[in-house]
Parts: sequence; C-alpha cells; structure tokens
Amino acid sequence: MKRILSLILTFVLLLSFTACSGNFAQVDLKEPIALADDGIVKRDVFEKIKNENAIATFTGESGEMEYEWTIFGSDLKDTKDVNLSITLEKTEKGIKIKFSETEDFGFPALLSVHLNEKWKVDSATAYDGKDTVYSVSITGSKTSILNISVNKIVTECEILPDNEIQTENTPSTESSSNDNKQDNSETNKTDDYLSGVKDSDDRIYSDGQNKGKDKYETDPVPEGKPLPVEPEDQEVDKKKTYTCTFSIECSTILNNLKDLDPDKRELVPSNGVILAPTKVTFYEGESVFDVLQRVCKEKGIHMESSWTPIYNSAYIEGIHNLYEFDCGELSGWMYRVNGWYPNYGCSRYQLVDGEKVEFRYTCDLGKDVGCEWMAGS
Amino acid sequence: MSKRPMNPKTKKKLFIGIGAGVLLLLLILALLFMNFDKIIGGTPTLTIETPQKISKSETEEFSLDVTISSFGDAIYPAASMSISFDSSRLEFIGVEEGNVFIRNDEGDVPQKLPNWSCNPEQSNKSGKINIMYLDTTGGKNAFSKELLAEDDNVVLRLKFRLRGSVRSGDICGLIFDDAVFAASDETQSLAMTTDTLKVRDGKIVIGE
Repeated sequence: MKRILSLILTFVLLLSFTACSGNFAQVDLKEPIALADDGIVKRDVFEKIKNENAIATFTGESGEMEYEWTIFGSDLKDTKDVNLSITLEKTEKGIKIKFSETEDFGFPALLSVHLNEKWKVDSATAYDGKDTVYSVSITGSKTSILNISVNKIVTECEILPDNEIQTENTPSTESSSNDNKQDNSETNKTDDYLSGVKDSDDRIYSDGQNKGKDKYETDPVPEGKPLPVEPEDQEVDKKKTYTCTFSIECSTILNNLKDLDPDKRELVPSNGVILAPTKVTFYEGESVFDVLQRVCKEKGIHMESSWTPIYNSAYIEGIHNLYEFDCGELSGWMYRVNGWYPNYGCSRYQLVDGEKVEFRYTCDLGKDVGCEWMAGS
Repeated sequence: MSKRPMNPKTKKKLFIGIGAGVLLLLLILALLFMNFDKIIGGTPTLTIETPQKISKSETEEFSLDVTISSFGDAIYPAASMSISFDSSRLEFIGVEEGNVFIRNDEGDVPQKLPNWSCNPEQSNKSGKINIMYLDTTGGKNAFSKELLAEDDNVVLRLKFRLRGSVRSGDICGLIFDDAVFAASDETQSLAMTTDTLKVRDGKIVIGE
C-alpha cells in the first residue's frame, strides 16, 4: 500500500512539475507565444514548428516597444536553443537593436518591431557600424511597424531612414554598370542610337555618348535618362502589374487667360487641376500613352490624339477639350516623368514601377512649365 | 470522554493521502490556468493569417484567411474592418467568402454566408481595404456565436496578386486600422478601439 501511494505521489509530482514548467508540449503554434524572461526558446519547440511546417510567432517587449518574431517551419533545418530576446532603444535618428543571442540562429527569422508612433519614413536600412546588415520595410498607417528579415546575427545594429544615409552609403554601381554594358553590346550593334546601360528595371538608359538624332528625329537623350522604345516592339505582360502616379493640369492657362479662346474659358478648372495626382495600375511593357488613354477613359476625361509616323508616337492634341493653340500659338500639352520632360513622344516612354507622370499644359513652348530643352530649341 | 490515539500507520497513510490530494489539486489548477483563455473563450480575436512564403514569380492570385476566435453573447448585425497594405507590391483583387455563417431567420435554411462589400479599385489607390457587412433586416441575418465552429472560423478571405515590383525577401504587412462587430446594443459591440476585439496583423513574406 505504502509503495503504491509513493508511486502515485511521484507521478503527481512529476506531472505538476512538467505542467508548471510550461514545456508540456502545450505550445499552441496557432497562437503567439510570449517569450520567457530569459528569451530562450527550446530546441524542442523549433522541432515542433519544423515537424508541423507551422508559422510560429514569438512576442516580446523592450521598454515601450513590442516586437514579434515570425518563424517558418519550412526554414528550419538543424535546430537548437535560441535566445530571441532583443533590446530596443530609440536613437536620435532611428532605432537601435541589441540581440541577446550571440550566434547565428541557423535559420532566417522575421523580426517585426512595433513602434508606438508613426515614423514618417518610406524605407530604412539597418547598419552595423558602416555596413548594411538588413533592409527594413515599414508598414502601418497609424503607427509604424518595421519588418526585418534576419539572416545573420550581429551584436547590435541601428535602423536609419534611407534618405538620411544615401549620400554616405550609396553602394558603388561601377562593376554592375560595366557588366550591363557588355550585356547590351548586341543591342548596340542593332541600333547605335540605343547606346546605353541597362538598369535593374530592365530599361535601357542613355550613357550620353550619342550625338546625332535617331531615325525618328529624336535628339540625343541626356545621360542617365531612359532611352525611347518603339511601341511596335513592346509586349505587354498583363500578369505583371505595377503602379505609377498620374496627374493632368493646366494651371498655366490661369496666368494667360487673355490668350485663351473665350469658348474654352469655362473648361478651365479654378485651380487648373484636371486630374489630381492619382495612383494608377499599369502592366509591364506599357507606355505613358497607354496609361494616359486608360486613365482618361476610366475617369471620363476627354482626350484626343493622333499618330505621328515621323516621331513613331502618338501626339496629344487635346485633353479635357483643351487643345494645342487654344491659349496662344505656343500652347499645347507636354508630359514630364519624375521631373524630366522626355524629348520623345509618350508612346515611346516605357513606364517602370513607381514613376510620377504629369501632363501639363504649356502656354509658352515649355518655358512656363520648366522644360528648358524645349524652350531652348 | 477521552479520544483514542490514532494508529501511527493510519496517521502516515492519511498524511500521504492528503499530500497526494493537494498535489493533484495543484496539478488540476495549473492545467486549468494554462488553458484558461480556451476554457472561458477569452476576448474575441480577429486574425489575418500569415501564409507560407510566396514565390516572387507567383503570378496567380492567392488568398489570406481572416479568422475570428469567438463572439460574445450578442448578435452582430453589422461588421466592418479596415486593413492597410502596400499597394505598390500587392494588388488587392477582392474578398472571398469564408465559413462563418450568419443567421437566416426568414429563409428556408437556418444559415447563410454574408455578402461582404469592398471596392478593390479604391483600395489599390489608397492602400487601404475597407470591408463591410450590413444586415438590413434588423438582426435576422446577423452573426452570432451559435454559428461558429470550434476552431478555424474564417470570416472572409482577402484575395491578392503580387505586383511585378516584389523582390525576394520583401515583407508586406497587412495591418488592421480598425475592426468592429456591431451589436444592436452598442455596449455589447466588439471593437478594436475599445479593446473588446483584439486584432492580429498578418504579413506576406516573399521568397525566391
């Protein structure tokens, strides 16, 4: 009897100990797991994540900030005990992270740092002294969340906004430019005009070497600006979508109302804005003209164009029923992309992600809208 | 009247028995404590389920589940949620039905799926998805806890497609800005702002 009672007692003691220690394989991977005070996550927990091919979340706090690790079971191979605890500290320009773990985890992990305020920064990078250690994406509209893919562990790093550090830390592109020049050698053979370098967006940029006009009467494209493409050669891939910002305005007319055709006066918006900057979606391979056509159709804005074979491009005659020469003999529509007025037609400008396109009405051959080359010519 | 002294053997057995009983009680309490939230239901939580990594070359549409852990005792004739996302990397296609039913008090069948409203075009411009359900029958087509399953209650599914601008290693957060399940009696509504509804954001991680 005594022996039976001692056995029961031992069993109960063992169960109590296991249950209270929290390692009773009770970890519910569907729920976020709060990190223990020491931050250590045991190997068997990682084994469970791996075996279940689960996506586990571990949460912790540092000062007023919270952080969260996301670990994909598919990324785990060899597992071990890992300390996921970190210390977060606000600095003058960014956020400093100190890792408690000193060795690499052995798997990539996703760290999300929840700031309790909005950080008005588009993108940021984590630096370990001088070197870039992680790129950081920022999400959240009310408060910001910094997402970092942690592949290697450093003692500490500082997350700084990209616009603060670009001047000092912009990586050299010399070697890649040379490689790209070689890649484009075949292109150069087919058309000397297309002398340029290919950027990461696959668009070819001018290297500024050409002096003459191309077969469509286009003057040399300034160095660093995209070279024109021929609309008939472009293939639109509707499976790949991107966004750009589009706007249409005619505010210059407001300063030249005396020259405006009186019949058109009521067409001019009081602030000159026909389409305020609007984010629009486009497909890979589309030109500025393709997108202008679609935007105008969708927004119910009148637009008339004509094909000009000599320039191999559409010519924009009128938008919103405001035509060329409606406001003087030097008036008409021009387009600007990322602050530059391309010296070729909008059918030949192939868009890439994130560009800012503006259609602007000029009353003085571009001078009044900041197009120097047009004004000079 | 004098008490007869207890036999020492019986006394020992009694102590061991009491000790075992106390430990057993402690064990039960510990287990109950660990599963407390599950047992009493806890605060309802709305979660955007993070999917497995998505290849940067994925061209097909994919869906993310938005799940709810539980409801309160009220009926909820209206629901809305506002989720911000990176529209330069993701294209929001629309909302698909989940598996959480609403009551169908006047219909042939006792339950049906809700019709969620949203405007993908506007969402892709603003980077914010506003989704809404409104029962215009005054509660006959409302959400209620009787219609929830034990787990995996998918309220709706968010359908996306990757844009060509995504790169391997990108992380696209899907952040709840607001979420409400409104009850007829406002004090029983579940709302993120009053902490009566917890939310858990999701993220899409882009792989090779």
